[in-house]
Amino acid sequence: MYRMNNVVAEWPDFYPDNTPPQEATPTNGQSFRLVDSNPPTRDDFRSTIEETPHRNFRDEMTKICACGTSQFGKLEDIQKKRKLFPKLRNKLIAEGQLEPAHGKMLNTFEPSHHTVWYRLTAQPQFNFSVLENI
Amino acid sequence: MSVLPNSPYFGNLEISHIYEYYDGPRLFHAVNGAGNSYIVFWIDTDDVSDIWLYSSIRQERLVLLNDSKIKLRDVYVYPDDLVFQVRTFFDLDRITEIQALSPNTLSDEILPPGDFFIEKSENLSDTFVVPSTENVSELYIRSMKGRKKPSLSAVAKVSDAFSLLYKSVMKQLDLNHKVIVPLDARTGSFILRLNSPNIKECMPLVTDIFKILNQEENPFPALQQIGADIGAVENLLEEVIDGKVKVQFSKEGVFEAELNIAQEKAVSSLALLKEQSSSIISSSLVPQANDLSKVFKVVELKSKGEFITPNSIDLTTDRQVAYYLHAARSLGLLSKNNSINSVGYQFVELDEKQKMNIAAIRFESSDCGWAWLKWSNKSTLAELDPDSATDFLIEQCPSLSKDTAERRAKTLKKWQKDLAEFRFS
Repeated sequence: MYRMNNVVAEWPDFYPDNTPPQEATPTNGQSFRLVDSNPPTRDDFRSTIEETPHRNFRDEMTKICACGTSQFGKLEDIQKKRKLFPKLRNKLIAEGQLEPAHGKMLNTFEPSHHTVWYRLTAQPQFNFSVLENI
Repeated sequence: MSVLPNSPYFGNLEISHIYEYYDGPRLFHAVNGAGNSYIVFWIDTDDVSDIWLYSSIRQERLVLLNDSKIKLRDVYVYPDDLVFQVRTFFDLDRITEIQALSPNTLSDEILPPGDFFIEKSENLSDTFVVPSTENVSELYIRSMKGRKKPSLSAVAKVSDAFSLLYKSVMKQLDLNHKVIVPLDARTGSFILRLNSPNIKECMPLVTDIFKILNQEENPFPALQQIGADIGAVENLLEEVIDGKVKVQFSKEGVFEAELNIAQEKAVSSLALLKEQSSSIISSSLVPQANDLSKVFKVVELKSKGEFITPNSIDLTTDRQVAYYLHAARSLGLLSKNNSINSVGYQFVELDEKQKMNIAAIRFESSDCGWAWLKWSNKSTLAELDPDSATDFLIEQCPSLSKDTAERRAKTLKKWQKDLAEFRFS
């Protein structure tokens, strides 16, 4: 499924061209993600496209975004999202620090929502831990 | 990401605005070529499809939603039209599955929470949470006919009648120390938020009453069986017929009980109820104010335009004052809104003996006194056996618990004893 992309970085081979987009910056800082496992596993950080591989995309930009993983910069934003949607209500909230080696990120759609494009070798789960009683 | 239905059912839908995004649009407003709008809410995703809730929404209501004037959940629980569960497949060749949902199949598991509002701005939109508290219920009053709004008078009368019904249910459960209190109303839809004490205990009874009225050809036996206050039910039914409305009552944001009865059936049900309930008395018509001199004092103070306080009639609580105002109303000496009427003005001019005589006559013709006379097969107050008061209330006022009936009977007994000697022609 994965291939060596170029000499600078390794990206999953299902990424289309221009992914991550040029405006994306190296991953960095505090981030929250909804996960199923405690402690989190690498699967908890799969992109939308990996989670639902049969999904079709109408345009290039949505496909580019779907190659990334939805994460949030603020705890209250991810709590609200989890409460709002039935599908997310049983998920756990994991908090962690992103590092430049993980990949690239871009603020997308909402103030604290960011899409993270993980490099092939990234293991973000080791930087994240589940917040208990939240 | 293909999230819109592959079906001609909704026409050519386009996403007009995304309110919430999470690995794709998850809450959005979609419009078709004819301008029909839908609010679409994500419920679930499996390996091959997404599942959504679709509710069509009128333009004016969309404005209210975007301005945070109505809750997101209102769009589904109190829809303008049908609500659909829509399953869109990732395989674009597969036809979308669409299923209409009736309000009672909508559960917490598939609805947005009851405390979410939308705040729309030009680029980014957001939902926000306004926490709700325990015991908050909603009374939704809407017109029988399509989109026409019920009149203000219908809303006021139906709310009032519903409040009396709720009170009677609380009495039935012996929870009669609190009252239903309005909190606020949401614009454009007459959804009244109410602080409803003991909603958990009262809701099943309200639901049963509404179900019986909706379904039973002759509702009287079933209502009597569950011990409903027939008078309070008749009162609500009258206002519903008069205002040409439907009523929905629920714990905040959950569909639980709807009184949705066709006009013709409501009229025939009401007639049947009236016919069979003539000897039944509503608990709201039974006085609970032993001291007649205090009842007279209330009327006298009212005639002078004075405000009645516990102090002014030598009582200790506002609740006791309410009982004495109620007693004066039941004798017809005050009008429904506790203002003095012409009978009251004439009454205060009489001497004590005349007052007792008039009170005796007016008690005989009051709903409660008249029912007691009919039940006892007597024609005047003087002929009544005061000790029969408890049995009368237990038999003829089924919405009162035994304890309350015994307490109320003390008033009837005392009034009969005090007034009997003054019942001269």
